[in-house]
Amino acid sequence: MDVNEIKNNGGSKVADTSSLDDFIKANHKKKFRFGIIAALLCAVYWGVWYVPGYAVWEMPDFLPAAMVNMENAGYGSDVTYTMACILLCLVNAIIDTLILFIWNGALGKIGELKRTFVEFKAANIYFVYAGICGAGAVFGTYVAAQFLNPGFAAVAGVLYALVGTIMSVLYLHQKVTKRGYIAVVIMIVGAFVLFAGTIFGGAESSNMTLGIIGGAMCAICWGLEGTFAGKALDYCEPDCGIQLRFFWETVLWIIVCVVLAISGVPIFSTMASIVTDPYILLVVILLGFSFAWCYVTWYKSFPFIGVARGQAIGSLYAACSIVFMVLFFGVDNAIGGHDMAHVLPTIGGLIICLFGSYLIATEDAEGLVSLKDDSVMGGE
Amino acid sequence: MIVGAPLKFRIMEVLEKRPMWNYEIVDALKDEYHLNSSIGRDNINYDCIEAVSAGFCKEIGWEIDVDGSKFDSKHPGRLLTKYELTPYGKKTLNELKAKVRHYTPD
Repeated sequence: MDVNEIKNNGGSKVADTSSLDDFIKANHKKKFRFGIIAALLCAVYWGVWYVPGYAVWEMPDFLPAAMVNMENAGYGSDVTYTMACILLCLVNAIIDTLILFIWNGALGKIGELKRTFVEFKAANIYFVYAGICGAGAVFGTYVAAQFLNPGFAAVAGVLYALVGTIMSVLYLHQKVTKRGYIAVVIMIVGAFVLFAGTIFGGAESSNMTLGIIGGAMCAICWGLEGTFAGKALDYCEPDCGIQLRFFWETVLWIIVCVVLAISGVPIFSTMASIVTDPYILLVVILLGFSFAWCYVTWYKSFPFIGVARGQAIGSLYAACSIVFMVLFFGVDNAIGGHDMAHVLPTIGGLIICLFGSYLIATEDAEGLVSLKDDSVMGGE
Repeated sequence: MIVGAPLKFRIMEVLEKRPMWNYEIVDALKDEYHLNSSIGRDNINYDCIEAVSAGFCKEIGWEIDVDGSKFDSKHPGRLLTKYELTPYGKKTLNELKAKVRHYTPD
């Protein structure tokens, strides 16, 4: 089949090739590129999320007021911080669930959503696992950011790509090339360098153990979440999948918060400020939009490029978060200082991260039509 | 037959009978899933692509829809793909049949 012939027949967006074989290759490459772009967008949205994610702590009528109420009720500062993290996780999960429900409605996928929901044993159960792991990861991020520093939280988060890669090979039996492994390691090294100035530039911590536990939760839970999501997405639509994942996370946080409230913790004492204060509402909506979109693009990338590549490119969020935090909060707040000891590692880390993503993005897509290892494809 | 389950389950089930082209899969499932629009057609096509990446199906034939009569009349020249269920897909489908709420053997 000649491409000119197709063009003469009114064909649009045809590949610049001259045979059916080339046309097929171009088509596979297009799918791979779609996955790469989705993962890159995930990194951008994830990076943006840190802006409302930290700004929300500065809204005096919401989290700070809730912490004051909890301290007045007799709880210590470490406990109130942890409770505030739980409250924020709940708000984050609720707003994401709402936004994704509207998103699925707009795509006409409510029917598929219902079908996926009711098939609990065959499909929905994996999203329960993904929701629990995701809850642990988000909570861990906030705990690490509060008890150590945002830089440590971001680096700990990046380690999820390592967990995700190992699990995608062992549990999902997905193919990861040598180039893929190298790129994952390079990106993790890049993230370490990126935040070296912040981490070693004086981490004042009220409770370092809690911070480290939070960081470990973040890496392990996000890696596991990607793995469960990868398994579930073999059977289900990504858009419906994310909706269910956030639904179950919301259920989990509601249970936790209600138990805390019944135990006498005034955790809901400032919830009303979200709807009465337009600034808080705006920040919460931005939080939801950036996180929901980050997940939409993250889950969309998995079927096209695999969990390992999707997570590795997604880990560029560390670089994106630095860029956005510098833009919105200033250099000092974002990387801990504007001297060379802080700026040089940041620039060096950004370059290393970009090199890692370049290695993955330019990988040959030919062998990746199916992401499964050939030994699995054979069947029993 | 699996009833009321996510679309991918049924894609695997229709492919269990015989290998099919993507436009044949669309024709077989669009009424059942109320996906008669062009977006619905692309949804089914997208799920077929994902089923390949999951290893449940494999691509065994290609053709170009020169005049757009088979798949997309508004965009002639799209690549048509023929799919076949893999042994892994067959094994997975059998597991799913045991897990879904409504399955009646044909």
